[in-house]
Amino acid sequence: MKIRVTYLTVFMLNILVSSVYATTFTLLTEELPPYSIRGNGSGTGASIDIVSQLFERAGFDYEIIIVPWKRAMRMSLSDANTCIFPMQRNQEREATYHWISPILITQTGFYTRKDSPHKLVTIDDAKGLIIGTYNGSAVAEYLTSWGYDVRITPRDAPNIHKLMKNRIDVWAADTLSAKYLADKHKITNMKEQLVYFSTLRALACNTKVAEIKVNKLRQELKLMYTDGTIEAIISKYK
Amino acid sequence: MVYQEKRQCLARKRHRVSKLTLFLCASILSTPCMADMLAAEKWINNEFKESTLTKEQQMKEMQWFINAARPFKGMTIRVVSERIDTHVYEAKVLAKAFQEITGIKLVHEITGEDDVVKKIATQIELDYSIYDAYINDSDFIGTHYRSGKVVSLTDFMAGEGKEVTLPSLDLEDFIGLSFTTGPDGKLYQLPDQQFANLYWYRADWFDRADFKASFKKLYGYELGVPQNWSAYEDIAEFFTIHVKTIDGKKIYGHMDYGKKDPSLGWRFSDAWLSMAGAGDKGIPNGLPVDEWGIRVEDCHPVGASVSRGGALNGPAAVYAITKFIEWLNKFAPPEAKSMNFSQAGAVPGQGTIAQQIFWYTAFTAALTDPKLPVMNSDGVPKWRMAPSPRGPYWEKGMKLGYQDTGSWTFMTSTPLKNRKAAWLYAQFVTSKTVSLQKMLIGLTPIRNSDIMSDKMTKVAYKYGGLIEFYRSKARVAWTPTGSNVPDYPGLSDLWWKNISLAVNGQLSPQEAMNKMAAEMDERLMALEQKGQERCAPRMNPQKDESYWLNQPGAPKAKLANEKPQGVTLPYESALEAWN
Repeated sequence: MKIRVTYLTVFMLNILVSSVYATTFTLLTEELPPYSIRGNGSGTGASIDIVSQLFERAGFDYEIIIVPWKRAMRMSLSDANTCIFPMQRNQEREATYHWISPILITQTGFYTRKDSPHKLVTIDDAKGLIIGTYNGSAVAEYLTSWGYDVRITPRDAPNIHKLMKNRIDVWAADTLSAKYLADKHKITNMKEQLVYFSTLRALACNTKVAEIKVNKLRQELKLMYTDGTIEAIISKYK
Repeated sequence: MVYQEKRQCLARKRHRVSKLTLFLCASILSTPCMADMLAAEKWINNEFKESTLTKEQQMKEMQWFINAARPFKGMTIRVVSERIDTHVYEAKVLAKAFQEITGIKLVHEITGEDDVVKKIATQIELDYSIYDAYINDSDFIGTHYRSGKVVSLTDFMAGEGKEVTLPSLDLEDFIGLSFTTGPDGKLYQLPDQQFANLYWYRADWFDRADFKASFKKLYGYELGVPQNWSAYEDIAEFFTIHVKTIDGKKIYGHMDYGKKDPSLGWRFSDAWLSMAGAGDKGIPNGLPVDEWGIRVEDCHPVGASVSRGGALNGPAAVYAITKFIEWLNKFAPPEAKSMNFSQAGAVPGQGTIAQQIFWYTAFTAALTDPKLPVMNSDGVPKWRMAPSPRGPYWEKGMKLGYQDTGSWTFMTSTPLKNRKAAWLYAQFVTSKTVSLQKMLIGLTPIRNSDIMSDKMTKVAYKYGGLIEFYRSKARVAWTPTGSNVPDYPGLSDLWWKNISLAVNGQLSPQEAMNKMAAEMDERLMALEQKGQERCAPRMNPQKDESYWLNQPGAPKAKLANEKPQGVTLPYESALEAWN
């Protein structure tokens, strides 16, 4: 009888767990090379590779969709079983998502032309200069809150050309993205002056996602750091 | 090589170089030299003019930094801190000075306090080096001490960091070392800035004869600095309900904030329960029960709920939450309920608030802006800060408020060379060469010598009582979260998540605190199972609450009268009462 009860309990638990785990997650991201690159299927890139690996290891079905960031934000707030990445985790957003963090630790730098007369030692040295960045980025919010002269474009890629044409003094960009775009466009007259901010990027899931699933993803992410998986993925894109 | 360096030094005589720089440079042959000393002299002459050291002593201190930094020249060091005036000054000015003087490239990042917490928690959990040092609140002392992931500065200064430890650091001069020392007596963090949480009020309104007369007529005692919560409540009611308007403008007798947001948690974790009197006697945090309501035995947390000997859901805690909600609803501006910490911080400066029981002195600089309606034309504030009133459960010998002590914190996962270079920067921004000027900018004192300096005596009138508070004995009763809390980042979210339920009326204060205490116990139990490097929780078994409520100290039984007679004092007497 005791064995039977145990068997039933395990059986019922299995049903419960499998029904909890059966959902297909919608994972939203924006196109942001080299973190997410549109391609055949669900795309590639450092953050897409990390998140794909994470869900596969957790045993959850998922679908990655690349959409504009603002739409991704809207959908992730309203739709159950939906997550967005790579999202900057901050105080204002803390209560609005379940957080699996960090899937990435990124850095933002100031880039100028090599022949620029401006020397940037601290972030304060960029005061009074025209800084280019793109819409919806954490960089734009951060610099605007400090009162910098920020010019925002819909996408980041045009900023590198604006910098080369002296239409902006400084380009504030993610360090991996800046290198990727400089290589892609064969830009050599550009220098990294100051890497001024580090950001924890998270997978942010709708608050209706079950706590048990969130905890499973958190455990798997930690293992991916300790076994070197994250480092290996990032190094492919450096 | 040394000879050549010396020649190069002396060759710069044609530049405008002081005799002192020349003397120091020429007499110390190993100094690399002159450019760095010139940079140091430039900074001392132009920026660090206010110091408790003489210029000669400042130059010698800088000379030590130049020498000690030689092995690290050209390295990039990355540190992070929260966004307050003091740290902004460090990031914009002191980082640049350090770089010019030592040749170490220093990136001092500024971000939200919550982000600093997430980052340090990530580095602790993953052993993944993100920064070379953090300016992290000493509220983490219990976490750091137990984690085994934070460098003991006592050991570091005596061992591998000996040659990079400033001889004139003068640790005895720091006022906050007891907050950053673990139960093992070792220093784990070095204070960088401190600010307290005090009572704030409009001294000009409190001095008005008509208000004094009508207050006395209504309540039977003098309008003055409230010494207990009864008086605070009466004054709040007086201004919001009876005075109502001044010069045609609606005014309020209380200000606070209640939005569901992580900053709501600080309102409580920053010692609100201790102000009501929920914890035990004992400085800095109350033993065996602290201001979070956590009981410790032999450094091991044993429970937060009353049934395990804690005080988180005891009568004093429930009283504290009840009064917070009642005052917010009855006496504060209606919009306060939907504000967070940052939004609420600016409101007293707008000139419609008579008093605020929970006010961070970090706002001092912002509230002395001459353009604000709370400033007189002669640069003297119309407001004052004073020691906070205490709740009915408070007893002499207990802490009475919170002090934030942002402190330099070094992780074992940081490479040693980076850690040493970052330690040099930490000592630079807290050195006597720099600290008085930094205090004048940010008003967040860390050194007794600065607080007692002639300069601060001359300028004290500008700061509404800040200097007087830090010179009084009262300051020892204002302390950060202590070592009872074994995992600050892992436990602190419980405050805002649960108290917001009571603020929004979804649960009663008692229900919310019962839920929170149960969740705190669960997390402490999880820590017990997981284990910590030292002093991990060892939870008490549950007992009938009456057992613990009948023991001396916390948790304390419900008082028959939670509103004793209100007591007030004139401003000067309110400070003298602590001496």
